[in-house]
Amino acid sequence: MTLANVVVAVLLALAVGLCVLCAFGALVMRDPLQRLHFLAPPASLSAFLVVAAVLIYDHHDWQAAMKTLLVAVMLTLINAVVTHATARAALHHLAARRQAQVPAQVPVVDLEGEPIGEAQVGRGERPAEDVSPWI
Amino acid sequence: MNLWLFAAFGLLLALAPCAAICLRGAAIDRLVGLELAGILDSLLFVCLAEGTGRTSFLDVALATGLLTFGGGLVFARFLERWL
Repeated sequence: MTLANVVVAVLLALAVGLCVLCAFGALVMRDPLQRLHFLAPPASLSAFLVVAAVLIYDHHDWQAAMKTLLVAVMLTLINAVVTHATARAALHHLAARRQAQVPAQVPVVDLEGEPIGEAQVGRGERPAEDVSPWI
Repeated sequence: MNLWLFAAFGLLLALAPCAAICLRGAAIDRLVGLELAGILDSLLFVCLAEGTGRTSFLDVALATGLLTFGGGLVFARFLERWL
């Protein structure tokens, strides 16, 4: 086994280990916003570790190296955009869930707009002070 | 079996937690699992391309990455607006 093969093995082991760790990390998190953090390491670090391994292992084939580099750059750039869009959607979901769970007193008015009392909206499953601003 | 195919097998194992995320929880959690699986798929195809010596698999990796982008954006927009 040459030195180049050892370096390639180490780079691939790091890349795959990082991917496996992040996959299990995303699995154990409770919140979609927390899960989203685990998308970045495979898309950026692991991808460039694989590019480095390809450059060392297949240094005579520049086409393969350039395509792999293109995949890594694309994953890195795309991940930022998709994560942002998904986080926005997650925030909307969490805000809607929070609004449905927290009881709120709203004024009730008659047909002329005069206040005639108050009513509770929301399911009232959780007290307002128990809910964080993000969930 | 060479190094690249071992790496591809490891990435295949990493898809199992993504499948578990996609099979339970809210829709937005499933979307995150799908996006993570798309990233891992791209890297898996790169390893398969090097391991089998078929560089045409690199085009599959490229296509998978692009489809993950389009699919992720469309799903995120759909969940934000309609669900």
